[in-house]
Amino acid sequence: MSDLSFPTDTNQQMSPNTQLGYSALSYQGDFVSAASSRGRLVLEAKNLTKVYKLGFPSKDYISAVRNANIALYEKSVVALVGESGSGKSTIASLLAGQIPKTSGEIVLNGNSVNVKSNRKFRAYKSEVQMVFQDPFASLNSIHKVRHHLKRPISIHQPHLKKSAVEKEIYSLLHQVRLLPADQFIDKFPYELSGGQRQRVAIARSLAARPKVLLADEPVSMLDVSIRLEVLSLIDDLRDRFNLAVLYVTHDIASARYFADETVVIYGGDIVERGPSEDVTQNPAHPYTQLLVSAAPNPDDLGGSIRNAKLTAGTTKPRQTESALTSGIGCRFTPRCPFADRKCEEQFPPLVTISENRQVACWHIEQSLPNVSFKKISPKSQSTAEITLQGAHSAFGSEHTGSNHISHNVSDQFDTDGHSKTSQPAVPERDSEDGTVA
Amino acid sequence: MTIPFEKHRIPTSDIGVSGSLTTSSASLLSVRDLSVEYRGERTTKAVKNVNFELRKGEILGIAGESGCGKSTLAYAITNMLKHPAYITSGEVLYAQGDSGNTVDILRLEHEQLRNFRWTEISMVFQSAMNALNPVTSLKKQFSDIFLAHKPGMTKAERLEKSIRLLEMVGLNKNIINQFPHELSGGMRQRVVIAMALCYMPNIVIMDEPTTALDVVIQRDILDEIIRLQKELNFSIIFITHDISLLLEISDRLLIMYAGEIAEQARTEAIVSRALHPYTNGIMLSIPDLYGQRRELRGIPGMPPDLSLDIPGCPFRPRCSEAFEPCSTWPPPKIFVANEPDHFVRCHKYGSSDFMGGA
Repeated sequence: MSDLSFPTDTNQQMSPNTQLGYSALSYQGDFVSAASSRGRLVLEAKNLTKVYKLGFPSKDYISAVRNANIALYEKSVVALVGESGSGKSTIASLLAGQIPKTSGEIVLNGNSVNVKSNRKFRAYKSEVQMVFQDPFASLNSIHKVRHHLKRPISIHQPHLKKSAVEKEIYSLLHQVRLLPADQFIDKFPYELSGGQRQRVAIARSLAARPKVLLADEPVSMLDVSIRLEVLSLIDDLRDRFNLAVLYVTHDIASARYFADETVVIYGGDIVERGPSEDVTQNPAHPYTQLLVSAAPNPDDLGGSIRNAKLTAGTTKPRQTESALTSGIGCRFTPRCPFADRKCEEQFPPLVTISENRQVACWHIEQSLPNVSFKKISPKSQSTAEITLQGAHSAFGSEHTGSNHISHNVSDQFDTDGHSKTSQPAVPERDSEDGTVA
Repeated sequence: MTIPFEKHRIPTSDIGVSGSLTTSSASLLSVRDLSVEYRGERTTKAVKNVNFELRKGEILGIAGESGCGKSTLAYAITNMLKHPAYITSGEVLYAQGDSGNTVDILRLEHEQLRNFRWTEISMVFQSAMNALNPVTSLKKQFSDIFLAHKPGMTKAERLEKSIRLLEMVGLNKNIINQFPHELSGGMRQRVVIAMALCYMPNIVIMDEPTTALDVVIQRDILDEIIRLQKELNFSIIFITHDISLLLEISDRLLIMYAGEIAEQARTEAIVSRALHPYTNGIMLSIPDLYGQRRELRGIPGMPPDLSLDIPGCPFRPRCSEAFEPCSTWPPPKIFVANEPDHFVRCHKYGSSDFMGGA
């Protein structure tokens, strides 16, 4: 497949250092995933690309995912955030081996993976399991819970005897806290609530004793009061089973609480990544800023949207398919407030702006006007200087009190990872927002 | 069990304050003692003795988890329920425009009901995908509405009005000839909203209008709804499970649990001083993007099966603050002093009908 001539990105360099004309405002050390401190690297996607050919009569291609690099570490959660159609589920399916990749590499435990034969696919599946969005559709309604758990056990652990399988089923039900297990084992899916079904789905994926759990919107179909329970269950299981978790979601607020690293994806490109708290409190890419400002804010009493000046067109229309197929330039251009010619013509590379943050935008200076990045030589990484003063969201003044954001930047930058390495030479003071030092 | 469901009394002096039980002049819709059950092998009581009022130009939020009866309530208000659902008690009084007459929507018959719906109360359904007909163009679907309600309109008039409606919700008029599958989810939802506003109704009931949409599109739609509501000054009953969204847009909130209203208050009061343990539980289980990270706590357990008789408080099995009377006595409806419209159904605040000031 790889010899097809895709309109992909041969001219796109992932390394920022080779880009001419980039005002090298970057931290030039190596990028380190915020999730890496948790444990060993388990699953890694390198330059993962998926191109779909549009059907007859069109001869166009859509690149659903372009050059995605994602690393999943033991006991860590990486959140993949984006809107529908951004390619986040495609990445999950690619990693799960459900759909063939166009190019790139998937590395599991240090070995490059190619799941072409059934046997290899099954072996891969015993390491990498997936939990789907809709627990009402992902369980077979004519089979009992017992059957749903027995099948994966007998497939992935064929040596087990009947009594051992039964024991394993009970232990799985215990693990996902479907208690008392006796009551649940002979139930049909329709007798269970949404949260319980999702627990069965999680138990089923654990039956293979995987190293990696790919959770594709695991809670978006559940009620608000149930969601947190399921999320904390996954959170708990990753510790107990040393799981590396990919949490695919459109809800960036839950990523803040649940994930170590948040990766924001737009139109198939990773546009920003970094520690969840940083990305949500101080979004750098205009799209992340849009996502954050669009999220409902419970503290926003009475609603700024109700009291705000009613201006139409703050959020520009959604991108058309042609933009997805054209392949050049930043895909966020049509909706971006900072977009100019360059954005249309050149693809912004993912630039490392601090030890564990990367952003793909030609206009970081504008989207984060109060951030000063000092160019440093690779040798003196330890003096990377990052000064942040109340970053302004491009959309912030419309929907969110921008004071929320600025207030929190100071809170969060006191404690985050940068402070170890950053020694701001000139701590700027801001009388309202307090000092970041 | 022979305990009367609502054993509270309302001192006459306070009636003026507790707006939920009186008909003030601004009240547009008043739902009284409404109960709905689904009849079958086991009868499911989906809505139990619900009282509330909708005022002119306000956004009333109804929040609750799936199966708590919030959609059933919406259908009951517009008298749309069919077998096996039956309205067992109550009335829905609608104050009709200029005349000042009130009609009980539940007593309207065929033709009257047909004239009433869409012109006085319209509804926006959850999934815009299914609310539109996939095999006819938008033009045809708009025409259908006009043909059904105002057969006198000419073809040109119908087209013109459809285009005006589309433009009103921020859509390009060129899509009038397109089919629903050619539109994005957000556009479809806008079309459905445009259709609901065909006759400038006084009340629009929105049942999870943004649930299937992306966050950004959801924000667009909400902005659009608020803008239209300000311009046209209709009242909205906004039903959703996403309480964080309601906190932002609604004037008053009803928190439903197991078919009952667990708490009703002005939105600010819910944010600053939610009283019911369930409301508190939900508030603590929403991950937020702003402010300090706080500890999130879910609510253990799951909502009760409404087909079973629930003695005492329906929230008791999941409540961390439950104590002895909770399992036997239905909680009284307790009004909060100095806070008009705020009531809570919980034993925690004593058995008297009014709790002291803050």
